[in-house]
Amino acid sequence: MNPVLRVMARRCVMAVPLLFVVSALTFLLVSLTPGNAAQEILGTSATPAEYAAFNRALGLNLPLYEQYWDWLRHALTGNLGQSIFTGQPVVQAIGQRLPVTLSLLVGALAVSAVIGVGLGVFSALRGGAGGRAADVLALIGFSLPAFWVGAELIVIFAVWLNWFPATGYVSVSDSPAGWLRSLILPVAALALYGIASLAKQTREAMLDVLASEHIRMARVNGISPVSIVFRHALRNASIRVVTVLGLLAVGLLGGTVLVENVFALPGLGSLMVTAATQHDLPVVAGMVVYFTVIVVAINLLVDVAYVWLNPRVRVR
Amino acid sequence: MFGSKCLARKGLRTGAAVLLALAAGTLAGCGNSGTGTASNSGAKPVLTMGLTNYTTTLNPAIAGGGDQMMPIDLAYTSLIHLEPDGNFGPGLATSWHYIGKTNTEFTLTLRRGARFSDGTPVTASAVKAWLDYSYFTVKGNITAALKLKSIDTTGQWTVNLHLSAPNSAVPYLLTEPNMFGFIGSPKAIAHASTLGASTDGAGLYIAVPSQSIAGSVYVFKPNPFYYDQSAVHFSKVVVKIITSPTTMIEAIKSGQINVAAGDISTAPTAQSAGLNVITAPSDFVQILILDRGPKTPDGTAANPLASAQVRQALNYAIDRKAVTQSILGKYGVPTMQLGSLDGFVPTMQNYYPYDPAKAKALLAAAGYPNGFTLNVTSESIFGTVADPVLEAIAQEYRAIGVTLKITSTSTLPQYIQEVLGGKYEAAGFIGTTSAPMSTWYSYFLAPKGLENQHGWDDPMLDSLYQKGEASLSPGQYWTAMAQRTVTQADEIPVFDYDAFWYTTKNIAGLAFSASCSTPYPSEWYAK
Repeated sequence: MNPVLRVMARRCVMAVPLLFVVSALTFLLVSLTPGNAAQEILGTSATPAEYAAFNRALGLNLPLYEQYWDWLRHALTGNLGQSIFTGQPVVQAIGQRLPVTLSLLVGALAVSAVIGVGLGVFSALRGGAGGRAADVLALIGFSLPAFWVGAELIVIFAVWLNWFPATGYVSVSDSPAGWLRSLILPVAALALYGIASLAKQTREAMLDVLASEHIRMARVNGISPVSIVFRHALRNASIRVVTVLGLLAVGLLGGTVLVENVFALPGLGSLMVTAATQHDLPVVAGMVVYFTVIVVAINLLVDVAYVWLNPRVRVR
Repeated sequence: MFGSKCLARKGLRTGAAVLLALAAGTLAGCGNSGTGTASNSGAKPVLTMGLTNYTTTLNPAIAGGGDQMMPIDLAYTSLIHLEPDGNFGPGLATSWHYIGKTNTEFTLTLRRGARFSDGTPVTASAVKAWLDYSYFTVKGNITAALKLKSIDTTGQWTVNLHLSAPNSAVPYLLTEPNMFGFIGSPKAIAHASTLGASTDGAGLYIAVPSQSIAGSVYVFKPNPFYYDQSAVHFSKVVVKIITSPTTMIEAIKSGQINVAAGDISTAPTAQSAGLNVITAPSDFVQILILDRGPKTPDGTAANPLASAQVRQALNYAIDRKAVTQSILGKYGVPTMQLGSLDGFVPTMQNYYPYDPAKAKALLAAAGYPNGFTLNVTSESIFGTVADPVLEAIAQEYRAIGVTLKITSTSTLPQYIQEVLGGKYEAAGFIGTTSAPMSTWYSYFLAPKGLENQHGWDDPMLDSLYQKGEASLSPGQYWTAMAQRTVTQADEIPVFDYDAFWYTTKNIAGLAFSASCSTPYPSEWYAK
């Protein structure tokens, strides 16, 4: 069997029990947090009988395992239920917001990869003042929180310069240029940590590889510097960089919650916070499924990248 | 090092080209980054507003009050309109009155010519169908307060409400802040589950679900069936939920939105940015006493709060002026009474001047010379006016030997659960100044009030309430109730505080007051 297909199949099989465990845990944790949807909707003015009637109508009075089983039965057919508050199908609610979060995530990863790897390579090759400057830039990226950077970017680029919108998201189908403009500031805020992280890891990996035996051999054999850097050194260093990129992608997924809040973006993060606060269990459970699938997909991509980059993995 | 300078230069050139390409594509619209384009240049402008609180649903039968009313006000018209100054005006009903003298029969005459956004006329049978759904099927917030028994109609334009007990507040309960007066189309009841994100009211606008994202962005377009098209001032209204106050202020400063919900942390910035800053008292903060019964909630000891002297001591021990000044500056006013639409008595506002010595003496007289511990839960999600207020009071109570043990909560449902759970003597509470006295009585002071959980009863208050509810001129009873609650120290009010709204210079019509604390977007227009 093709090694890439084998890796993909293994990951997909492993994802099934993971989804069960994560969704069951979600039900358990939401039930353990104080308050419930009835209290959020009916407020303080309803009587205990009205709370009970509300819970009965939505099946929230059933034992937790029954609620979970009911949810699971429908989830297996692709129906993740409806939001208790808006009545909107969960799949639709998530579908409306997924492009926002994915745009942010992919954008931030792409920017982090291009600039972070570029800085790391530059720093490893140049050393001296240029290298130290790259190191300092990376350090700054580590130390500045994304929500603060986001707020400052809004002040400078939205309020003072009026270049980009302070808030909101424009769908790519409505206006590709508007979409790009609405994403530049949040992506920049989100990517800063990734740039720093990748720059540091790339630099260290490159320095290790450049000092290795086979690179010295390549140099002695007269292979061109460009080929040595990009075909040999960077490719070898990429295994570590890809690992970091995978971890970074998962971390950035969490970071989108804060950035979406700062830029008032209608993404999955804000939906998750709202749903969790409201005890909107169908939405929370649906979101967890989606987040798990995204994390599994990221890991899958990392594994595939390993196979592609490392012949030894391919042979195994 | 491997020709790195050359590589770096090449890389820089490529990077610069990419950046230029991006800039060309994205900066093309610079100088007009905002969507808040409310300028009146012929065609109707677009209004973009920012709200802080997430809107849980657009269905008025389910939605909560406060800011959540604002998007709903765009799409639904209320039966009776609560004017920003607190007076009642016509809505879908042009006239209304009680039948007889017992305040148990109420009738409304509807406006002719009003239609829902699906084109259906707003008739008496349509209103009855919606009220039946809203009151008897959904049983939302209003259920306990309205005491509705049944609804019938007379002819095409008259709706009659039959109540199970006298209720003098029916006109108020049918206004916008209570949501129950917002009427949806009977056609919509059949697909009520979709009303969270779509609308079918008789208001100025219709929600556009395909352009909205529930809980984040709501887009509205004009309702072609609205009965007064001259009142439709905008070609489109966009409601954005912006939970970060910093982002909110930057969004309106950049011109991206025209109207923003503000708060005390951003008011100075808004003022210095040249925005219209509109403020008015809208809410009050108090320590809500949950247990005035003979025993503490756990039933193990005598309850200090059963004594009026103790409650008076707790009122005397607070330097309200200092607490208000330190937390709100000029945006708060110390108060000694429940904020209410109809029970405010100006002469009672200094009934408990700050006097720790008198407080100590009262505690000693009540048998608590060394004080006691008071357990309170806090409505922490309200930030500045929640935990910090209780902490400031805790500091002052130390001087009289009372330990205020504060339990913070992280969400509104958690707070509600704590308040209704019966294990606290008191709770931090934030209420609107525009609710009637009868509402506060029902919740806090009635023998079976939800927040009066341990069998306390004041027959004098009960009597005043009964008389007020049955009276066609109940004002005297509400002020008497207010006086009674102050003299008996039934609660520990602290201050009234302002709500903040910001608008750009080209927006007008935003108004609210202590009697009507949420502004109506349906009344705004571009200058």
